[in-house]
Amino acid sequence: MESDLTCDKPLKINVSGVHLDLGGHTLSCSSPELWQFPPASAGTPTNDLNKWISGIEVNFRLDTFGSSVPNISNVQISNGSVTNCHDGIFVYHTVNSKFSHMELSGNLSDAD
Amino acid sequence: MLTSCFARGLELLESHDNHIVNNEMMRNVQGLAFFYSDNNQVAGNRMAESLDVGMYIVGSVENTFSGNRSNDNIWSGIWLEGSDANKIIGNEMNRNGDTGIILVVENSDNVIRGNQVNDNGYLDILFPGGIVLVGAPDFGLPMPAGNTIQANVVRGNVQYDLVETKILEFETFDYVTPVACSNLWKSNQGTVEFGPADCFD
Repeated sequence: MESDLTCDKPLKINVSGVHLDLGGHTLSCSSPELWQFPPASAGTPTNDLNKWISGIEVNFRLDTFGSSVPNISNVQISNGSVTNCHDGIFVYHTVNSKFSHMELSGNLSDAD
Repeated sequence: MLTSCFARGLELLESHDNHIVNNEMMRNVQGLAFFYSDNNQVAGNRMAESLDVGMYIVGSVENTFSGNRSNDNIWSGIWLEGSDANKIIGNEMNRNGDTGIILVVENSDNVIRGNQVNDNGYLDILFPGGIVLVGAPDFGLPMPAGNTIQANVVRGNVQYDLVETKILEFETFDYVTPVACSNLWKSNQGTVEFGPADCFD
């Protein structure tokens, strides 16, 4: 699968019901920035742990480790590639979801 | 919650009832990792050439791993630690540098059945072999117990195909025979075994 430079920033999914078909595109972590789905708004927690950047993050919020957080559900991610990240896909407090036909390769970036 | 800082193709933390199907996880530090994630289905995936293990499962219960190929990883095809009642059925775990399938310390009631676990251990890192169950009860780390290992094809692995062992020395990690068999080993096609004499049929 060839790299797709039109989509080179990590993707954050923090609501239920998102069905993401990447259509064969590649996400890579060449940028430390985040963009979120849906777009960030007032009160939306931001991720300041850039060294832990994953290609796709599926979680309600990332900065509450150890706290009680709600699950998100019915997320589907398919048909694409994630490379050059810490985790290709990081999934936290997520239920009844599906991850299929993804190429998750070359994710070698460690935090320390 | 500490999950270590290894990079993974796909990591699940406290996530349940998910399906992970037909993915390719190549050349990551670890292919797939579960931490405290239960009742997930992992089927038809390929994990290969990981710098560590193909699948790393910690504190996770009642997951099913079927029809996956976790071959040619530097350490192990699948590593289970503190994980109970999982099913590992019909997978390939071949040519991994250390171990094909390994259960480390306290794991119980897992079913490992019908897997192909061949030609592992060529790097002889810590626990070379095909299917290895290891504990360190003398250090307060219980043996894996009550697991069923049945009808697997386990051949050509370095040192041993089937191993139930305890550790007495954390510098050498030499295999030491436990006093008694703690797991059910049944109808496996392995030729070289290490463990209590009554373990293997």
